[in-house]
Amino acid sequence: MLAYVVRRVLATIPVMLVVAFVVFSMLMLAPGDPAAVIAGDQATPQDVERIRQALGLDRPFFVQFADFLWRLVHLDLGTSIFTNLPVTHMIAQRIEPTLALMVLTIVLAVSVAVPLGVVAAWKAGSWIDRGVMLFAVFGFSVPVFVVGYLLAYFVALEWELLPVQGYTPLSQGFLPFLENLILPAIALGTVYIALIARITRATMLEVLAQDYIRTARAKGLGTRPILFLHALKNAAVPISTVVGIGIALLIGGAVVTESVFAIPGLGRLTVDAILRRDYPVIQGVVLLFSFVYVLINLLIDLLYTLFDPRIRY
Amino acid sequence: MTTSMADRLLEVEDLRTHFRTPDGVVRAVDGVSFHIAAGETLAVVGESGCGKSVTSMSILRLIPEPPGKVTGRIMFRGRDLLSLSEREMRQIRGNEISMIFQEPMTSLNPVLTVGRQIRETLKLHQGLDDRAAEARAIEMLDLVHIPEARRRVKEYPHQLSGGMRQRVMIAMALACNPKLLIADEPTTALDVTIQAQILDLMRELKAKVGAAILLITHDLGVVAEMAKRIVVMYAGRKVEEARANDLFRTPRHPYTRGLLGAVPKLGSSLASDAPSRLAEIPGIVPNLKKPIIGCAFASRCTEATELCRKVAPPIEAKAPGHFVACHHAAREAVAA
Amino acid sequence: MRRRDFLGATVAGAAALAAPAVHGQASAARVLRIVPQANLTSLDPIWTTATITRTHAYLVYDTLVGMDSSFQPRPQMAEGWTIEDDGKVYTFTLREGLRFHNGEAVTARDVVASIKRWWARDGFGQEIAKRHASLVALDDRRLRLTLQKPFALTLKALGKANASPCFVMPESVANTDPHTQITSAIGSGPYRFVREEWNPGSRVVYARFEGYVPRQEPTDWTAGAKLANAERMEWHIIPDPATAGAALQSGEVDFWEIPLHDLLPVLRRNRNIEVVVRDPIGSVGMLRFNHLVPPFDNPALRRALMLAVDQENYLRAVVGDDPGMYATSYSFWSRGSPMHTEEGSEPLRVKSLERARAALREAGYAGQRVVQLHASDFPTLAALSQVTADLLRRLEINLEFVATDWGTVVQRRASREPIERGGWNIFHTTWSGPDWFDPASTLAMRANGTGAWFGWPTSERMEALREQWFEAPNQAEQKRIATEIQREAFRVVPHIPLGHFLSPSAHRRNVTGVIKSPIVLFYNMGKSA
Ligand SMILES: Nc1ncnc2c1ncn2[C@@H]1O[C@H](COP(=O)(O)OP(=O)(O)OP(=O)(O)O)[C@@H](O)[C@H]1O
Ligand code: SF4
Ligand SMILES: [Mg+2]
Repeated sequence: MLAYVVRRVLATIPVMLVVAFVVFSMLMLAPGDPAAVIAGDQATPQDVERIRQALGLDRPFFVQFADFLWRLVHLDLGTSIFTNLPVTHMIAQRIEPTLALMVLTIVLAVSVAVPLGVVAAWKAGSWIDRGVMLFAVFGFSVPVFVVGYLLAYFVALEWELLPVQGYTPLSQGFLPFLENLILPAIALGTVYIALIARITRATMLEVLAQDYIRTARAKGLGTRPILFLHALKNAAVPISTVVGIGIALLIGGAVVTESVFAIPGLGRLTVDAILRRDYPVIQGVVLLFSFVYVLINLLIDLLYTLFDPRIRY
Repeated sequence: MTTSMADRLLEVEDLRTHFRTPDGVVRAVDGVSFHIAAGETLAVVGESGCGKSVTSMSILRLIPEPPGKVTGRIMFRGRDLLSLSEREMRQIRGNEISMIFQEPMTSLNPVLTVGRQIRETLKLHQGLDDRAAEARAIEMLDLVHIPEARRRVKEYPHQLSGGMRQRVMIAMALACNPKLLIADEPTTALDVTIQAQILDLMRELKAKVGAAILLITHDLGVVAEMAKRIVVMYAGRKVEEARANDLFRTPRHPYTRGLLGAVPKLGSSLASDAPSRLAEIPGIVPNLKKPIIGCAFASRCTEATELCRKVAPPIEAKAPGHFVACHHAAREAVAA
Repeated sequence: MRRRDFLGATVAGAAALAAPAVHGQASAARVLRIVPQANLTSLDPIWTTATITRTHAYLVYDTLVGMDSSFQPRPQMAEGWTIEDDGKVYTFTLREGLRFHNGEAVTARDVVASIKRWWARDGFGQEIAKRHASLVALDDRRLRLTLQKPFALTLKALGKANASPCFVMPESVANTDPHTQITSAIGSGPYRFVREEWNPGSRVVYARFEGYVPRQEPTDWTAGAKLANAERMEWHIIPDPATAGAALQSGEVDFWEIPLHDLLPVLRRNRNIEVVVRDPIGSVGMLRFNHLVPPFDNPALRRALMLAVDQENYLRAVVGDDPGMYATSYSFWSRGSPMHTEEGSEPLRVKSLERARAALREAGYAGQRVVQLHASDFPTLAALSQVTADLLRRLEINLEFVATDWGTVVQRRASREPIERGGWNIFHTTWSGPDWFDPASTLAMRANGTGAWFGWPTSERMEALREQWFEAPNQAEQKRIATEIQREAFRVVPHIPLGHFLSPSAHRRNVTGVIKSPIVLFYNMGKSA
């Protein structure tokens, strides 16, 4: 098991290298010039050229890439072209809101979607089932920002129940922290809930038709232990796979959510950096996201062993 | 052998289990009656699809409603199971009536330990705490001759062989000392040698626990070894019922005779006499989605007449304790 | 039910865990929360000409010379000055008690270093630089600028408020290469930059600098008293306009610098919100040509296109139908400037597709491809650009409309290659009024070919007139020359002016001290409880 984990973690290194190379070449080949953005509209072309030289952006591609790799080996992600702050510092500033949003969304989504999916499967064909499926379709088709706007408009602006936007760090109290995150988590979670509810329903339908469920019923077990222990534990592997895959979806959605609710997270940092061509920041964030993604998938693979004793590493 | 009403543990009367499907109502069980006395073993035999499993599931009320619909009466220890609430039913399942299934490979939950699955029943019905339930689970595994029970309770089904799993199922089913054990083809999926072991085990435990058994099987060898009385089903109906030796010696329904594959040899011993598998009968089982007019077996019956095709034969006693649903079955002088 | 009650009731159990919410150091009434027009990414107002950085700098730094609302230079950090030797020697004396935020006194050496870094980059500053003989600190409080020949605009240049003003930094910082970004924000202005709380893209925080001694005169643009009325100023960068609007309505922020025009009606309807025209001059739009590559290297074609332009179409596309929010300006100089004139602007008043079509034909347009760069991420620029695209299509010009983000436009507009090799013909941008004030401030009116701003127009006459303008002895003469420049510009057409539009600000009613000025100034603002 430990050997497996070590192997998997080591296996991320080549993956990360490839990611680094792809990201780097995409940035270099894509149009856009940070020097021109930095200089502002009233700079002369000469100023722009001087800034480009000062930033080393006029060097050949492979020289720049080698430089980037060399720093990466030293765990140095470089400094933002614009703010001159270390990328690690900028990421550190932004990581809490994104992490908090993600975790809250996942917790919220899983705790809503799984029971919904289970009940839908149990009452397959009933109005509850149809309601859940309708919600799933809605969740898939309505964009995150629309849900966000609607929530902000009604819950925050009209009913004044929660703040419209912003973020309060956890260190300033759990309640204010939660107040700011509830709406974004719901907005971001909608698609995710739809996804998980659907896969839960489908998997549960399959599991509920299995012989061991009949056995459980023949034993006199009630509905709840049958659904949530006997069946759900068997459905857990596909569900957690989708939860894991969905995290990629979540990363994309977080960018929008953070914009709509003005949450100072990594998503917005990424968008700002892309619009501005702040190469070191983009590289840093993409590397981080891909690392997290790989890590989460490892975590989920390990979770499998918890759900299903037949899986061993 | 007749049993008085008072001795009857289970009395099924005119059981009908119909399924509503998109293309018609499936009459899976259509007016079946039988009874089992306390401690007795009754075998139900018949071709695949004749409604044996549906009958047993109906008794435990495990038929999903809808699409299923179960009517009739199922008297168990003085109560009609069909009139009980789901809650009351749950107290009977796994406790007073328990069930083992044909598929030991898939009937145990793969993600829970064997011990946990046995403990669950005990905690539920006997109110045992974890430690007592654990001790009892180990005891039960010992009882079904699983070696190293103490270790095995911590194992998962995939770590056990098929025979062991069926032993676990039996242990689980008997854990709460049920009055009735429904065994739906308990040995069909097992190797021949394992089959014999499981049957031995069932007989042994029956003696110990004293439970009645409703044994559903294809295997006439099994019936011969286990049951005193046999019910033969065809197309959702009971076509013949008799004591085992009567049935093997003088099968009166053409279908039963077909199943046995030959005209029985008079005087031969039961055990060697019974063919181990049901014989193939030419023709196909009637479509259960259509109401059957006349005798259900008529299309395959070599003795069928005009009458057979028009009028459904009623089930009648053709000899003492020997009931047959056939217009042309020979009748003996019947006392009862 | 109010917000606190709702969650309080819902999560009553969790309340025990929650520490009391600490909102910064100052109570809510003394914290002014502003949604600025953009994200503050760079702290160096010399390195970048980004407006937001200048707004930051006016809080943190002070200037030697300020500019009042009649566009006249006024002493700011300077107590005063003397001009001797026929206007060749300027001697400035600093006010007493000026301190940087790190506690050190401001000395004349700091000012000298700051001026030198500034004039290495700023166009107006370069005009002093090339005329100067020496710039030295005489002692702690006095510095002297000696010129080779008189330059009447010296004080105006030092007090300029558009693009890169001459901000005073500590000498050690000002010695940084002007093409290298400084990361410090230590000035002697009314507000102190709170670095620990700077979260680029999200939050910028300033605290009142207790050591600041404002001037006694009333506040007048960048002249007079600069008051730190709010104890603490927070910039909340809210990228989504709808969210910013909602935050202002719910009172989560106090001031929104540039609301989306579409949202103004909603904000006006709110009793707690006031919509004000903070900048009475507003911004100007520009259709810029590339003068190096065909077909618009042909001046006749540029003039022909001008005949079709109707400023009202552009302005309405930007601000909607509210006529109070825009004004045409058939001039290469901004409204509000003494240089503003509409002389020579007849071609821009023709507004005729027919005439334009005829002129295009006459100029020899024969279906050559035209590449227009379009930035879709800035609503204002996108609106201007769409109107032009529509116009070009109706003129049956073979248009290649390249829609990207602004980051791509700024790169591509730097290309002088032909369009087949990634070049371009047309793009749009906007400027604040003061950026079109006069020949000194208007970068886009340089016509020195590849030395000029993107588009690289060439006109020896415009350049010669510009030189004359700098030497002009008085405003009347300046105006005459500026008018001449404009006549020439209508012939050369470096770009097409698209008129002025206002970008009002919106704020909660309790916000006080909003400075009405074409330059964004956040000091003096406060909150009446
Ligand atoms: N849920 C259901 N819906 C519709 N038809 C059903 C359903 N369950 C069972 N049936 C039908 O009822 C009939 C009897 O099935 P049953 O499983 O009782 O047969 P069986 O005698 O146990 O056969 P086997 O020997 O193969 O186990 C079959 O035709 C089957 O298709
Ligand atoms: S009733 Fe007729 S058809 Fe049916 S089994 Fe008897 S003989 Fe055959
Ligand atoms: Mg069956």
